[in-house]
Amino acid sequence: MAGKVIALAGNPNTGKTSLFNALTGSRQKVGNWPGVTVERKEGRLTLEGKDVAVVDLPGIYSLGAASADEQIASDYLLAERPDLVLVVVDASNLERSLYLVVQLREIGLPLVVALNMGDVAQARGLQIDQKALEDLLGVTVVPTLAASGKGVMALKGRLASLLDQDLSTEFLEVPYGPQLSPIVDGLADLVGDLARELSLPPRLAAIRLGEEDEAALAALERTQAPWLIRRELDEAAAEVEASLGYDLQTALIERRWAFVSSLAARVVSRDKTVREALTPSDRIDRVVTHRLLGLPLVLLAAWAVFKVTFFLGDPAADGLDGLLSGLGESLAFWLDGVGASPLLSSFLVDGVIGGVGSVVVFFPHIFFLFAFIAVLEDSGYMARGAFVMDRIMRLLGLHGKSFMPLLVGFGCNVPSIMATRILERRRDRMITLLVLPFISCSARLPVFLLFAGTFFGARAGTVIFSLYLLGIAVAVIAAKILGSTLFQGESSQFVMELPPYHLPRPKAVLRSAWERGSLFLRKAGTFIFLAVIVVWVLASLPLGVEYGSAESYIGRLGAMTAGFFAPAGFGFWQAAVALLFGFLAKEVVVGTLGTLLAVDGVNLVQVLPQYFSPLSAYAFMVMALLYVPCAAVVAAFREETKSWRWTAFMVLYTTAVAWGLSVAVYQVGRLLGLS
Amino acid sequence: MTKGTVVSALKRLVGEGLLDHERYGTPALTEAGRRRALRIYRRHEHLTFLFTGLLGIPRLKGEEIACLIEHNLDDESESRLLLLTDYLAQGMREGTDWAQALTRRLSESASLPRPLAMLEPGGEGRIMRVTAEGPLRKKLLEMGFVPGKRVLFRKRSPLGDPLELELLGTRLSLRRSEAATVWVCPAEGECSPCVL
Repeated sequence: MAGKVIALAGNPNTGKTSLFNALTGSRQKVGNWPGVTVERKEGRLTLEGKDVAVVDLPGIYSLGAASADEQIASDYLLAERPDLVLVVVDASNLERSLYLVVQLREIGLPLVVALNMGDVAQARGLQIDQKALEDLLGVTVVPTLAASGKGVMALKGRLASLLDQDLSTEFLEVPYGPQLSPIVDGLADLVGDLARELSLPPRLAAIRLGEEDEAALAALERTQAPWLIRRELDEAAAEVEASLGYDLQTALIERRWAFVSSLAARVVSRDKTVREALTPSDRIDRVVTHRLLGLPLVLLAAWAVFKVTFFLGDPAADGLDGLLSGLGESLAFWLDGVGASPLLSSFLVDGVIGGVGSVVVFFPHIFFLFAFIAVLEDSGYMARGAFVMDRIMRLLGLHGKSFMPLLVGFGCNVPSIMATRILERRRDRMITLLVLPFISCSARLPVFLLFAGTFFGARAGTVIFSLYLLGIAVAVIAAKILGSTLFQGESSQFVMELPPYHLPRPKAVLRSAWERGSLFLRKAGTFIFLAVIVVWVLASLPLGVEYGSAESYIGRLGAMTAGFFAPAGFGFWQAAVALLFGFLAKEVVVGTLGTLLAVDGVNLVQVLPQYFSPLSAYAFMVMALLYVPCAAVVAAFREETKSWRWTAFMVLYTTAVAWGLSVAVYQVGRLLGLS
Repeated sequence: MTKGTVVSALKRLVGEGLLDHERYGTPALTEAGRRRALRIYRRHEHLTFLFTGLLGIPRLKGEEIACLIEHNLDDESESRLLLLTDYLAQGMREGTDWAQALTRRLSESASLPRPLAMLEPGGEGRIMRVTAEGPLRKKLLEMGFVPGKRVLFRKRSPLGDPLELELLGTRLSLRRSEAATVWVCPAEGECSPCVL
């Protein structure tokens, strides 16, 4: 039994994740599927003293995949052939769940069905004949209540005994009826090559071909005479069309559904005395997707998530920051006392502790944000939010669900980049990821406050507001351009279930928040830490220079790049160095300018006008708004896309846009006679 | 109709060689003009017969539609339409089975299949077929949008799009453009098959 693999499959919203957690407890590993951004969860389970792997597959309704994560699930089931598949089905909605079960049995996978949510079914007066289900489908059925862990022990027992047996695969025969069966059989005689290619019996290969399965069609091209089979298919299709009035694909899937419905009718009995009243879910929905209240409620919910995340996250982040800088100060004091070299002291304080600090300060925000996202998803509200917002987001060429990451981006781009995981389609996700850095996060506000306050006095508020609008406008235009160039074609679809509402489970919520937060620390943390160390090295070397001064490497780098910023009106090395340091975090721009410009106890606000005019100050703010946000964003971006190339593209194109616009602002402003 | 309109129309017809017209004289059709006029007249009569006699549209309305179509029909479409009209008329005269079935179907004109997106919120339909293509088509079919299943259009999103549907006991959301590819018939009664 050791070394065996159980795959966990099922429709979305059937309690699959709860069951996975109940089975594997804390012995989970979260990662990505090779080559794609879809999350891969694997857990370990001990059955009778032996170790078994459980792979949690993305939720699917069928084997025909429309999105990247569905593709992974169906590819895994078809190609990897796990030793046992545990399918979670919703007892309160058996008919829909059974389609997948029938499809999996049809391709001969050994199944255990976890009949979940029996309590909901019972409340609706539904009785399920478990024995009949087992006999009709040739599967083992175990009732579970995954949310409370009931039935999990019994399930483990069944899994153990099944894995011990030799699970010979029998193929369930779906009756395709008198019209289709001869056609399927006729095709089956011809597709021997294809069947070997797909390692399926010929009849199944013919069926998968008939229902236009992508994998089967691709495999057909690898066989010897695909044109011959294509001709047969066309003839079969014409025959079906003539007798049924619709095509072969529709006919096959329709027959399979008819079989599923007849199964459901045989195993589910309804207690007629239980009246189907208006469910609480319906009542909530009346308000939540109300014609007038729906939109304000989504905005309110999104605003509340934003506010509360930062209300709870800011003090926690500040606390961590304070703790670490206190630690740094006492360490510096102690090192000074024992006579350590200033370089070592600076390395430990500015480099190591600073580096750790710039990673952990993100943890509280990520934790709280993902706790709220889990609440929204678990309760069923996220789907409604996307339902309400889709029309607006589609104007930007995006999916309804994109609104959440975009909104969170105003607080901090890092958790919002991670939040793009809720988008299933690669196209929607990539566009959202690529435009997110233009959304002005809270770390850019100190830069705006300093410059707008210094140069625009009473109009500072308007100026800052204009920068926020500029960020949004650039994001919208970039989304439009990306959607019509790099990510065209792949049209996004909105076939989505609106699951019944239920109370989110605190344990699941905290678990999801913790997973995200710790994943960030582990994965992105290393990169951010390294980036901080690199900047420290550049600022401290060659030996003997003052930290970040003109003589340091970063100062020289600043002097070299200063000319690059001259067309934007701030071509002096201090500005360039401040922007380079801004890569650590945008608010560092302010601190750096303070160190470099405000020497001899002069106030930064007083010296700034010696370097900047109001026009070049505005150009500088445009630059600070739009260029690559910070090392943490780059790290998170790389982590989410799994691609250094896209990450490099993001860094380069945001910087190019920022430079171009700030030069444009300065030059157009000068032409208009502004200064 | 002003004098100017008449004069310019006459000039155009003369220019195309369909009319002989001396100044202040009585205009007369040329041979080519007479042939063209007869052809349009024949078209008009045939189309009027198709709409009023066969499809059961009231006389005035039928003639109006025939007028709209007769000037825009090319020769091939015309001859095919005439053959079809002829065949239908013959079948109806002889009272063949298919002609009787056709007459029955024509009298139930409310049962025309329509895209799901055309229903009103609260409306229910029986699925006839899905016209979407590619992955969306497969997705819809496998989600249960197959011929014969009942689908309920629950409501529109607050901004009018997407739509909330109920199918096989679950609430689903589809964009209007996606719902337009699912063709349905009224939940009760007969419905003509969609040949799309």
